[in-house]
Amino acid sequence: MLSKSWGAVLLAATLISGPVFAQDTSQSDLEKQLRDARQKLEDAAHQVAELSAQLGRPLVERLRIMGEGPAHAVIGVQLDSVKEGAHVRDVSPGGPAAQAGIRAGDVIVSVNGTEVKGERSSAEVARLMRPVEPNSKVKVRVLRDGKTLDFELTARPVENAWGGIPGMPPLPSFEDFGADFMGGTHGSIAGMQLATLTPQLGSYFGTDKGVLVLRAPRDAAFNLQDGDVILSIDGREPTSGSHATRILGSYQPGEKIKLELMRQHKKTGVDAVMPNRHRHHGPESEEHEEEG
Amino acid sequence: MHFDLEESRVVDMIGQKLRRLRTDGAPPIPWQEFKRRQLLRRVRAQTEQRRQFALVAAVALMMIGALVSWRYLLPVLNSGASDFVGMAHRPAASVAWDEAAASSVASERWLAAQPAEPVIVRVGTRAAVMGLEDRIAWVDDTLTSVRAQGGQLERAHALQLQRDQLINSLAQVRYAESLASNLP
Repeated sequence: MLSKSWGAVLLAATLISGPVFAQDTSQSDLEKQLRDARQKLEDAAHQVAELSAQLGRPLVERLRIMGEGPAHAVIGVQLDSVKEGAHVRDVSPGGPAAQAGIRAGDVIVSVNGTEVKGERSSAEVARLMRPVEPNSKVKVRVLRDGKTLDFELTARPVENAWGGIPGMPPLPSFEDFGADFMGGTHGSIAGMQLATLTPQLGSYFGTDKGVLVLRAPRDAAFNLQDGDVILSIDGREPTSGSHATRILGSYQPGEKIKLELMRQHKKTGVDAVMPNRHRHHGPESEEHEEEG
Repeated sequence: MHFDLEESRVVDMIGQKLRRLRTDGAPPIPWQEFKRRQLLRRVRAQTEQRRQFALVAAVALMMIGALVSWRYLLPVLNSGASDFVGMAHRPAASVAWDEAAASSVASERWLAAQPAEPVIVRVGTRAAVMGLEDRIAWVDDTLTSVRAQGGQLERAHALQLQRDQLINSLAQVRYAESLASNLP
């Protein structure tokens, strides 16, 4: 199925790019077609993500009603109980545990200083995770190849995954879940492009931290320019493009944000407003370029 | 005018030849035989028609029978299974689910080989990627709880299938992301 789907993506890419080479068009036309193709690719990616979420709706809703699963925060590991502790059977790709460096095959022997071992160790880890607040740090000690290693994970909110918490009315419809998280960056900032600053790039822009804005959103209320370096968003320092995306995704449309920037080698504070979530297509980029 | 004269002469000639033909010879098939053959041909045609009709009717009946079985008998047979199994094994889509399970292993391996994020992060696509990653993390943590309680194999199975689907989707979205990121 995957190979077929990938084939379809490749076919789509070929179909998109085919006419570009076939037609005798000007450079600007080609650039516009490329922008359109990118937009289509991005739209398709969003569609795949949203449809996948909808597919799991009945099962997830049922489990949530029954109170199954994590209460507030997730760390992204599948565990089994072994004598020494909780054996990591699988790690969620891109999840908190994976990002911290925990691997499949590790054995968790303690969570936040509390030892876990024996045939109930995986249930014990789940129990220890129940009071953990979203975005808080979780200290995990594991056994790997006979050695003890310590990791610090940042637990992610359950709402990021499906929205809402069981027993906390009102539950939004599932369509809203998708819109809440994925739609959080669907608006004017969806086309924004960021790059994590390397030391070399940092010295060029006059800072050793932050995230570089390669393409700023068109929305003037967002108050960003190409070449700005985002140092902090309401006091939270983004460490990567993904981190900045996650921080920005936590705001509602219309919310005010204080941005600390490095602009033309000067530290600047700007007030921004999170744009609405309506989608923009090709023309956004065109107008953006004219502005630039 | 000359042409008309010639044409009338040819017609006269043919008329004379026809009049000179013998009339006392026996016809190639007697009238009775002709009638018998005609009757035989008609009977054969009717038999063939009936045979074809019977064939079409049999095929139609078989198709109706198969549809009825699919619609009514399968749910009855499956009624003993729990809701979770129903969620996991949709008859029409079972092949797709099996394919998803098989390909999720390859997808996960491919995902593990990818960098944490592309050099250029497009905020919209990254949000879609992170949405899927968070869902997979939820499924994994829930699987831990469900397995720890024991005796809930059907739920664990349904969750695992859900995970396979999400993993495959994540691989596709990340592939699109890397493709877009590499465009000039």
